[in-house]
Amino acid sequence: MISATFLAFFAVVVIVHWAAPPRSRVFILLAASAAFYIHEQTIAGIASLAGIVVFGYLVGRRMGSLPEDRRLPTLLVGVAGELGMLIAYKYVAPSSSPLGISFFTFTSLSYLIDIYYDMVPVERRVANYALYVSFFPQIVSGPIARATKLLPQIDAHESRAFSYDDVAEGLRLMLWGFAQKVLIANRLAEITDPAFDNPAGMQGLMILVPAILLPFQIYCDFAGYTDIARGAARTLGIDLLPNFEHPYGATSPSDLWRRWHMSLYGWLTDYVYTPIAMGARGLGRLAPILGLWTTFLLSAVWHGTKLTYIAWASIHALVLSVEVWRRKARTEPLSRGEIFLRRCAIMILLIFADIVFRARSLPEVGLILTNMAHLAPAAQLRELLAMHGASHLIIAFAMAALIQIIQTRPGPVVVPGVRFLRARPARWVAYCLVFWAIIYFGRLDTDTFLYGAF
Amino acid sequence: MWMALRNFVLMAVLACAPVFLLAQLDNAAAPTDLALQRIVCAVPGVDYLFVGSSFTYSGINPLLFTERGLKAYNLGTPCAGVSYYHLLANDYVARTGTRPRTLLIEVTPVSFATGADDWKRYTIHRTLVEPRSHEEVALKYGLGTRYFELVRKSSVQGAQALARLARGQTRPECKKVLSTLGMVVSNTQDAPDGRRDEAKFKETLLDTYPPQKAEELITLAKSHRDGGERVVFHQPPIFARSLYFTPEFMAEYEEMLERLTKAGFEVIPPDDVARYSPADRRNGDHLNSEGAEKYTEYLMGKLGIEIKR
Repeated sequence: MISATFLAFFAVVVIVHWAAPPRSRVFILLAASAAFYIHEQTIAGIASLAGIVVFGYLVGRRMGSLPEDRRLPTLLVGVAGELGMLIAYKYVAPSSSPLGISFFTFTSLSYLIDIYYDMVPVERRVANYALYVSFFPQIVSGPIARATKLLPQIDAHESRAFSYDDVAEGLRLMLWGFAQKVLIANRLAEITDPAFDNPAGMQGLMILVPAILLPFQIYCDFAGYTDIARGAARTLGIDLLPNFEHPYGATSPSDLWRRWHMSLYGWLTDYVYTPIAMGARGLGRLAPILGLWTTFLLSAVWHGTKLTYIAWASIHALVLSVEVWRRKARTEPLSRGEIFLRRCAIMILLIFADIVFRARSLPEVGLILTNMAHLAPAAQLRELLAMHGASHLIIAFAMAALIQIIQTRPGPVVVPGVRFLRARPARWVAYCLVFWAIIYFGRLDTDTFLYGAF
Repeated sequence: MWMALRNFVLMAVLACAPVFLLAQLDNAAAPTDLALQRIVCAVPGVDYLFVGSSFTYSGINPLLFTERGLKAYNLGTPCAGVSYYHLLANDYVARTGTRPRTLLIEVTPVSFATGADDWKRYTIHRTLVEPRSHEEVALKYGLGTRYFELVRKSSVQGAQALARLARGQTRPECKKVLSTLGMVVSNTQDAPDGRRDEAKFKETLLDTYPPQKAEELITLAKSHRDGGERVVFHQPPIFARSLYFTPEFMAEYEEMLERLTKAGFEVIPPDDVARYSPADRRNGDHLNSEGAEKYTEYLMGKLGIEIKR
């Protein structure tokens, strides 16, 4: 999505989409989505997406033809079919797993479950449903769409008027997304990747410094993609769900998970956690804990087959369980000192959990942590400086600090400071600076996103 | 609303314009890069023109031809692969207005590897007599993901070219290139094991052989033969990199060599690599001056040129 090919494709889609008769807009977006996916994928991937679309549509129509109290078996067939395909790809043939399968499967499942709960009407138009599942900005790495939010927009899309504000806001979001990915995530990856690709040769600061930067790299990579996707969709007159809301400004584990990958964890909360926690109310305080562990283990399965994902999910489930178990009603607001300490604790948790997430195996986690303990600061700092250069390291930490500062401020994430630049010339100077920084200082040689692997 | 949109597009174009305008000026002044100077300083009317990669510019000494009263020029360019050979050979004809009597094209498995034709590192397409745009190259060679890197490189080069123009530096400094007729002279010697940078080599190599590049090579050879040139393929010795090609890749490569022979082209067999000790190499993969002399003499023998001892 950071290639000239994508930008040229996107520009053509935007122009054709808004210039074409309103009734053809859905078909144009569907054709664009198909072209995008065909360009990215093998025949097997395309067949899987087409299979999910046809299967989900037919199951939805079938459920719609049944009275509400007789829909459960059909829903179970639908869920089993779609989850079965996801699990088969993830566990039986992970190497041939289609791009974005975790995202479009959950998007389709959301539709089936919402029909069951009567939260959305059955979609009659197959083109609209196909677009809902395969809309190109979100198909590779989300945000995971919810039927209640996206389908009504698609159904009403032909009546959506062109809006200058939408286009401007969409392009602003895309610019900020590119900046996060190319200027921050890709540059931080130059420090983190060598360390985590070869942890055996890294000791003390050589692995500790990359580990501190890792959460910021993961965040900027994923949030960058999300902003590009949301911006592209907004330009086309469609609002996608947000995925992040200043997660590193969280002051508790549960607060973190309300702000991180919101489209996935919102999905899991609504369709997995809440039903379990409500259904097991008789277990008292154990009910939410049961819901938490189920949710996080499913989240690990969603990410992939590696045991490190199970370990990563277990760490978070454990911390959240402790929080739930010890929860006391608190009325007085947190002091600034408490907020600071809590954010530090969250960051330490994230660093540890992200090491587990990034490692290729559980023994490698042990190796990383053991190597980290072998501190010889002066020699390792010299080696680190020789490897990356002082300016690169200073800029990397400055970037991480900037992200952290933005995270602790309330309000939506936009190009920092631009909201405060009310005068148009000042705003445009800021856009130019960001654009030029992307071109001249960004690392443009990689088009892959971390969450593209899921 | 439409007025606002028009203004928005206008402002966006203005914001991007400096980057792209500077990129257009990358060839406004003579290049300072030795690899690009070799193209600009090409000697007209040669008997032997060598087109190839760093194996060629390190491994062929044109001065040995001069000693025999023949004129040769080494147009080896770093990271060149088959697509670059096209541009280099055709540019020589267009730039000098002459055709070489014999065009010697380097061919090794590396010519077909991923790392060959590194458009970003060596933007030779911008240095040609008839420069090719990044857009054309990106479309033709599927470089959509690298396009912005190309623009960035040219943009920086454009700013540097402007600075050189302001200092009145408009002519290329061909002295160094002409003193060796394009060859890179190196007297350093390799470490005894000669096998380094394994990770770097691996990432530039391919598991699968790209057949379209073989077609491209044959098209190039035919077009120059039709122009009256004698076209000869030669295989300079490669050392470390040869260890990382798969047997399947090598089988396809051998098949391509057979196709060249069947199409009526001379293909000089590779020299025995055992003749080249680490003392003949400047690094794990490239010949130094000693090695270049050995290989050039081998080639001259195969070309039927008497070797002066």
